[in-house]
Amino acid sequence: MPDKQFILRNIDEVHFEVTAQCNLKCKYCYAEPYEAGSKDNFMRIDTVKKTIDLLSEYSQKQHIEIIFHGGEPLLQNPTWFDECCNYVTEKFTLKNKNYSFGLQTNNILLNTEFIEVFLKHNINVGVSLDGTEKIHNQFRGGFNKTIKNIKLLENSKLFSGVISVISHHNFDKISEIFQEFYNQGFSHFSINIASAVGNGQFSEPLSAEQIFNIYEQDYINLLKYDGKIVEFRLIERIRRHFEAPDKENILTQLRCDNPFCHAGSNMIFIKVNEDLFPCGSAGSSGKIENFKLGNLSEPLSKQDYYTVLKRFHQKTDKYIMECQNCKAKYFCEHGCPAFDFTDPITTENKCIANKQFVNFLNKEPKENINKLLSYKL
Amino acid sequence: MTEDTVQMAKVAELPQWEEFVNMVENEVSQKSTDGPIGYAVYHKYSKTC
Repeated sequence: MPDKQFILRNIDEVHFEVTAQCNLKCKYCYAEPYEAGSKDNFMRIDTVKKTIDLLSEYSQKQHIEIIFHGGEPLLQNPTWFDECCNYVTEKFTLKNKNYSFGLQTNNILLNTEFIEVFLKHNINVGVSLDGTEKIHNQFRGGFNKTIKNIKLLENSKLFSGVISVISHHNFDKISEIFQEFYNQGFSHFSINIASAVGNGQFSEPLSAEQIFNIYEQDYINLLKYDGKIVEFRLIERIRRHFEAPDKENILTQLRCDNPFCHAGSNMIFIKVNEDLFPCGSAGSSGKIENFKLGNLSEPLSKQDYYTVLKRFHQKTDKYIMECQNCKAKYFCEHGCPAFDFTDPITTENKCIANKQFVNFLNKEPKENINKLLSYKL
Repeated sequence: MTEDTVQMAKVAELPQWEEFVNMVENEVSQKSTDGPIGYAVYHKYSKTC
């Protein structure tokens, strides 16, 4: 089997760095600060076409997920998305492949022209929102526009939900976040505890105690709101703790929150300059040259690709010696290969908090756990 | 074993790196879920912002 075919045979998700540029400067952003004045700031349509041609030819997967990421993807022109999606539709239809589109944005620049294109191609949009106006504007900015444009997405049925990054501005405000999102009429959201990487690499990692409090407050609010608003991530982790999946189950559900993720094996990230990385995190922060898998304009080498990928997913002695016997081993996400390289402290603090929280969970009444696991996700 | 670790009653184990590598490098197409992942699902577990 040719190297290209072998490497791409299992890819069912591709993330495009539409641009490395962003209209915000979030203090915790996982991406390195964008260098003003850099050339080739925006992805060329040819880069998308080249990627789609490769996947169309070599991926054995029936369904391919295409995700537009950044930087801030809405800095690109709506017609760019239209042309890209037209090409995807044409190529994948010819190959009888299914496909779907997603886009992650701060939502400030959304307008009716984007909506028109997104509706045409059914591009589902996820929005970053950190809580109340005061919380959100402390580290991000543009709360009012973000909220106003979420309504546009909701009215068009294109709204996928909210990712809420938890850092020093909101780790102790989980109740306010639930209240705000409930008031906004959201049915669900997902929290993401920031690592000290990228733009946030010089900030203090959250402590184990702070992380435990996030889990505890998340849990308390999940019960309080009785399924009317659901934070996905904690529920899934609690489910895994109590259901204890077997190895095969873990290896066939490769995702960001699993002991082994899908980066590089099922998904690839394409940068503006056509470099190929296991995921957006690996291609946007830390010493990214360590995790470069190749470039679209050069021949892909199976040996080079898997040498880097194996190193990327390499586990520590701790995983081998301690995690197997840890009571939190299913609740734990076991770090992030991309972030841990730059910030090993957050993962260690999560490790301590995970064990504490599992102790807490194990003492909780069964009816509470069952109630929480019955929420519709 | 530290006091923070316990023997799990269940036999289920975490996969080891070698098992992951073996699966990823296997000639045969992986058994990973082949169906629409959907952005809403990706979105749930993403560690980006």
